[in-house]
Amino acid sequence: MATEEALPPENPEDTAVQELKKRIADAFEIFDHEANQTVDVREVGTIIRSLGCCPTEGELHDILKEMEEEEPLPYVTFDAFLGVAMKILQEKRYKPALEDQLLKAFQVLDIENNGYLTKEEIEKYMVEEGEPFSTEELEEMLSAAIDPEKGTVIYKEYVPLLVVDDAV
Amino acid sequence: LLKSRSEKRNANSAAAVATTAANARSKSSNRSSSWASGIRLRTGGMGCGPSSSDDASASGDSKEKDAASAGEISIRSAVLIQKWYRRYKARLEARRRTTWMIYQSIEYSSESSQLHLYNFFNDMLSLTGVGGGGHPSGAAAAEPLKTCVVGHRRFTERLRQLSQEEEDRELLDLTSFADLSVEKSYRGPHLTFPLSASHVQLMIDSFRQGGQLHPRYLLQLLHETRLALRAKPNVHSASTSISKQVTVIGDLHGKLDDLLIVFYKNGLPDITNPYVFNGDFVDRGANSVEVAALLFACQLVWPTAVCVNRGNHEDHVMNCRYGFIKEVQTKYRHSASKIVKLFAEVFAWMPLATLIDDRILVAHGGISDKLDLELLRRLDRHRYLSALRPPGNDGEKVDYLEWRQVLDLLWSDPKPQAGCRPNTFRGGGCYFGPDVTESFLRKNKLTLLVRSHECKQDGYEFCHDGAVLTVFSASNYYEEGSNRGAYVKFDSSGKPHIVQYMASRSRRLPVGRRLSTVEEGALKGLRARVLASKTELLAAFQRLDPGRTGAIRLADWCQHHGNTRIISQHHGNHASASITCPGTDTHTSVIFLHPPRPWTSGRTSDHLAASSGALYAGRTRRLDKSGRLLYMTCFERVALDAGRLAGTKEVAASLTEAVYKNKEELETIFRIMDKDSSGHISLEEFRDSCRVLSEATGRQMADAEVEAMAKAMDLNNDGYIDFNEFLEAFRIVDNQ
Repeated sequence: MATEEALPPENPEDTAVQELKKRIADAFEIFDHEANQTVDVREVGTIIRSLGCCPTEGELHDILKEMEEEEPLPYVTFDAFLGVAMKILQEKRYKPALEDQLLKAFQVLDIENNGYLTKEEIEKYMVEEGEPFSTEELEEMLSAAIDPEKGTVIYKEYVPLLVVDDAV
Repeated sequence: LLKSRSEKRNANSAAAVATTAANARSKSSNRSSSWASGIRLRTGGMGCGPSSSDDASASGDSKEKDAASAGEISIRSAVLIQKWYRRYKARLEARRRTTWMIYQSIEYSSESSQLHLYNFFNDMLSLTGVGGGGHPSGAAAAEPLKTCVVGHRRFTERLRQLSQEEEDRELLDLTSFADLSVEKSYRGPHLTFPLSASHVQLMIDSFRQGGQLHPRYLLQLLHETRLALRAKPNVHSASTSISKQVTVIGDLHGKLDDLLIVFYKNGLPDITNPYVFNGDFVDRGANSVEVAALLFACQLVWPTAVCVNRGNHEDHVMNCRYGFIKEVQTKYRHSASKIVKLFAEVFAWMPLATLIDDRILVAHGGISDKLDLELLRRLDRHRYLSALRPPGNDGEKVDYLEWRQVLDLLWSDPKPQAGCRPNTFRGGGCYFGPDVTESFLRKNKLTLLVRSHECKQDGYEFCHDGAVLTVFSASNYYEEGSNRGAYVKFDSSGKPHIVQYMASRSRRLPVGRRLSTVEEGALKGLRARVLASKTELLAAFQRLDPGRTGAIRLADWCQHHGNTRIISQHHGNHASASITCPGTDTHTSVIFLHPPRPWTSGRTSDHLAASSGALYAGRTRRLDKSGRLLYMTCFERVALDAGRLAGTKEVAASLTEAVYKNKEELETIFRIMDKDSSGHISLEEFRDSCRVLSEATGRQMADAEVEAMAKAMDLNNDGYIDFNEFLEAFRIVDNQ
């Protein structure tokens, strides 16, 4: 219980570091199902991304490598996670692109400049190019993005959804 | 033998999932193989450029070069979209889990305070019992309370002393429906006994349209059900020899929609389609009466094909608090007393567990290291009106081992940690680990434990290495969109097949928006908690802000209240996004006090955390320029409204807060005092209730204020208060 002791003088840098640590700890805790300071290695990507970073799958692999101590285990401890996560966040690595860059990305794929992408086009690009989606990821994206009447993705309308929902 | 059993279990759990819910695991396992393939260069055929022509001339070369760099751009674009999308999903997942934790925390804290109240009653009752010594002031408050609780118990105890025939006659007298005639204007289903399948269909059709069973029929139904259930053993045996399959349904909690979905998807019960309903049909939802009535009707029509296991909510004490009695009173004003009594009797006769093919045990809560099937089979289950209180008059020795059989079966939860510990948060049963499960299954030659009792996001969950299956059938339990419901079908070899569903009235919304609804529900719950604990929270804030600047450092708060958590969401695009808390423009942060997770030993939180207060810093700027929390803003969004009492000077704000904070406890006390389940109590009983509450919570409520409240609520000056109305008066309103 707090008493009427004098509070230590504020050191803005300390506070910032402390708060960052807390943020990381909280994000970690959400996925620490057994409450034993470890998370499944397969959820590390989700945690890092929930902290605001936007790494590719390849970059995620590197992050995991940094976290693993000697040999790869099915879980990651909090200490290992914290060290790497602090660095990533303080160095502002893997910053997400801006909204108009995302829009441009869609436009690049829309070679005929239709203003939309068909279901087949989305499928092809997302599943066969870059870092392919799983069937599940594809289905999820399509279910939200597809205009049910036309069967197309009007990406100009879809992109804001990906961005706005972020910060509800 | 062990190995093959666990292999079989693993194979079962692997094969079990019929529809996969979206989750990080299955996604990631695909992803981890995909990273290895890396970024693949694709040229031609993908619209990366003009299709290559036959001539390999210079123009063709440069065309290829164009095609190559266009290909690169398209790959980069694809990667951008993919990683952006994955991040979006990750954010949603984190939010969803957080929201879930909020709901669970609120639920745990409610159960925790229920336990506290219950223990208080028990203490008082034992103190004011034999010998007459003990708590002086407490005794005065306890007297009227004791009369009610003891009176109710005496009623049931007396029944047990009679012969079965006399018991039936006495019960029939007390809960007779003979004088209830069915009016011509009645539009609900008409029942004649013995019931048939067409009656069940009539009930379904009527309930679906909002119809209600006439009290006469309901009482008759309950009488017949009681006789039928009395004939069943404690542990029911179900077999798939004829039907080749059996379906197990988990908690329904008065959700008629979900039950109807199940019947729609899986068919009505009959010899070829047997069901086991695993408890908790009532409380919380809006149609507990209809759900229970339907299930009991099914049991009567297909007695060998339907088993209704008892859950921890098939319990009079729980019903006082969690809404069932209120529902009965609202729907059946005049016959409420009889109906409540009869339901309590029926619940006490429900079997405690079901054994499928001698190899799968189905029970509502779980097991413990003391569970003994032989003892379970032998005991007289009818003596346990409430699983929370052992049978016996004051002074009679309690058989703890026997009591634990019932309590643990209905209240326990499986946990990852080994061993068996008391379930201090629920107030009953234990936390049992995988070792307890292993040895129990081995000792009794079983292959699987199926239980319910805990809400799961996907409607079901395997744990303990596939040895335990939780199945929960009330979808949208916390809020519209919060979780799916599920049921499990077993074939003759014991292989499980799971079906998931979600009752939904609205058209399918995109995930993000559905999540917002669920979140809003959780945040609303938190806001209410914050407000109810305003006095204490304010005091805590001010301790950290001796200068009364109105702002505190978040870091200081975290340091002094170790069990808090900052859950932050923010506008992802700001440059300063790497540190969430300070300085961003639109900002949401929830500082969240909650009791330590029940199964970990941690330092116990102080009273603030124990009351599960939570702080919600709003969605617009609540931080000052240096990132400190402007704590007064936490209380702004909503306000406590005491309705018509608000005008009364004498009813101080602090009293309003006290009542609101302990609304559930107060309601429970009222219902216990309300001997005839009429929804009314006398002024004196009202005053006594408040006194009891004040003792139980250690919170002072000035007599004069309580007096003023009582008078204000007695509108027609007849000396009685409609406490349902009273409680409705205290609510949270939006302050926008």
